[in-house]
Amino acid sequence: MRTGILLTCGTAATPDLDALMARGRAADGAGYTSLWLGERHGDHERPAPVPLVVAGALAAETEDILLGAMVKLALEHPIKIAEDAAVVDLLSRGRLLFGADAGADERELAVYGRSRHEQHARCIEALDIIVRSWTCDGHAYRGRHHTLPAQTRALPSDAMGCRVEPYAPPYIDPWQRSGLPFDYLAVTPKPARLPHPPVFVVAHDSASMALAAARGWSPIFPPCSTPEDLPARADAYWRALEAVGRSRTDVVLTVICPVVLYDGTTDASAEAARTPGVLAGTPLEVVDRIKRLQHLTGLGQIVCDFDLPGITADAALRALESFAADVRPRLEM
Amino acid sequence: MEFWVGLYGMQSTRSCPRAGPWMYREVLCHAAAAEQLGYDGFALTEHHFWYDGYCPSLMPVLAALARATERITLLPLALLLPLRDPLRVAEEIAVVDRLAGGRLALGFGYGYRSEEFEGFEIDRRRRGARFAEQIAVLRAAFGGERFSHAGEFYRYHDATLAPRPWQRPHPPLWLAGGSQAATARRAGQLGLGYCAAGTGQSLDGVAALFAEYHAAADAAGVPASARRLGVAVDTLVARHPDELARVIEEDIVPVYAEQLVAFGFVREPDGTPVRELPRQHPIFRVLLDSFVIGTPEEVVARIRQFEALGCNVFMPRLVEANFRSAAILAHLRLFAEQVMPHFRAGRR
Repeated sequence: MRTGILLTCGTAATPDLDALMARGRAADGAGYTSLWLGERHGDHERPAPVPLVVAGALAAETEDILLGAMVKLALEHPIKIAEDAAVVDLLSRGRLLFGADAGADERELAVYGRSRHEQHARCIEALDIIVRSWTCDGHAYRGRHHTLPAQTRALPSDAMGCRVEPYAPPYIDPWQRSGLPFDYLAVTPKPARLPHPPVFVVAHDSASMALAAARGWSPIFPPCSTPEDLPARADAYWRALEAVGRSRTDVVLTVICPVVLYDGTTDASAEAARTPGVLAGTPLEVVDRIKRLQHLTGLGQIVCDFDLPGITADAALRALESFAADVRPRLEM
Repeated sequence: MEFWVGLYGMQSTRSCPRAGPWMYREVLCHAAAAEQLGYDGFALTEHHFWYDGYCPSLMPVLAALARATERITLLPLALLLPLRDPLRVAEEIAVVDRLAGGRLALGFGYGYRSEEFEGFEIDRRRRGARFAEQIAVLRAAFGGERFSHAGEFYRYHDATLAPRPWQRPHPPLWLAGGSQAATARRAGQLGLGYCAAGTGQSLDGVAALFAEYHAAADAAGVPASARRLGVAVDTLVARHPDELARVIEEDIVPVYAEQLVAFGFVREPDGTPVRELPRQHPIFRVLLDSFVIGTPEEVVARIRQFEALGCNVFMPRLVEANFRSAAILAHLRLFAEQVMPHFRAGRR
């Protein structure tokens, strides 16, 4: 079982990126597999801006831990997301995990004047463009929301709309192509990891879960207030994956889970511990509950969120260390 | 006068190919070395869809540099603002400025390659007007209040910027331009710093651009204390003339022969782009004449000329000539030890 940690940066009033970096270093040192950054805009009580930029800083701060970034596809141009992700992957020597977040809350959409009903289709287009930008030498795209390059005359020459060998004669080396009409976009640099960084899809709803399964990508289940639903949702994902003939071994079913560990100093009656959906208990109790979850859902990775309301930064750091020392080894046995 | 290491692009060219992860590791080492050697800043440059992998995403790299350095100013020069959504850029600026403890500066540019505009579905012809609106959005966002904006290019309803940048109200803003007077005027009119490109341009050309900047700033009522001028130029310093000639022929000419063809800057009389550049081509004379090249004494004299024009920041592009890491580090050291002290007597 892989273990990860969700990093957040304090509150809107006191955003603390230094503490976030410190926690990233601690998780790297404690042997977590991955860290995850979310994206939330505006004066949210737990702001999480621009995850790919924060991941760039963490690439310099950490050595081994995988850098997960859950990027809101609706709020940025897909080419920009592809470029940022490739650069972070290079900066981190291939440690990026790309989380595609097709959701956006009403306030975020309202700021940009976007409508909710076209949201999902827009995100599917964006994800197609991003993956092609990483993998295709040159590609052209014509969709409902994007036409790339904007003046392209190219009709897709294959099902993917990618430029394929052999090029139409005469062949001109890419470095000498300037000044010629360009019908394909060659997005550079390419990511370090081949064929591209692993893609995770944030499974907000059945549509995003179906998307993940159809492409053979891993789902990330966001924290839910009713953990009892999780087995049913995981089961739906596994069945959809099987329906398209994909193998279970290629994906990592990931769940983000708020965790409170009782270590004698934490107040077991704290509000956070009693909130539905929070995994609270002594280390051994938490081990049991995770194993049960694993049995019920086929869970491959648990991403712990220690930074909960009412929990101090110190206590969250202690929980990070105590989870690594007392819970993680028992999960891997 | 301040010295910012100029225009670092993470390129893997045909004449000096390098592996991606290695380049991005090197840029962190080079920035840390520049800081130790006493430079005041470190600038990265951006292009998109470029055959040599030219870095298109400066903010993640600046975020990494913010954690790898402690003192120097970090900046994109230039971030091609017209390709971006300004509210998103404001968020990135805020985060990187916080990661750097208030050491971020912003150098914006218009961009000019049509590929870049088409890749982002932006109308290249209106980039000047778009830029002015983007600066207005950035300033509104940095104000810290909830704001709405309804302009020609962007609309936001009830937006706030959180977190805000470390520097208040915001990091220093610059506009970088090539040889176009309109860019200098726009910088003056909007009250931004202005960085001229010295490469490919005579000293008189730079002086004329600075004059345009001041005239526009005067007209807009920008106080003299709020104006900043810089010049970014390819710089090559060596102890002996023989060494200079060797580096020019072995490193500078091959790289420029490749890059000039790739950018399509050189055209035949009928307008078709030139595909091969012989060494005798007059463009090399123009370029090499504009570079700051020479022994330390000669280079000091050239920089004094820019200083006399009122230039506050000199950005030597020490990296373009030779992409090999050891050579870059040696060149950074030579310039820092032999040239910079001449401009520092009063300060340290």
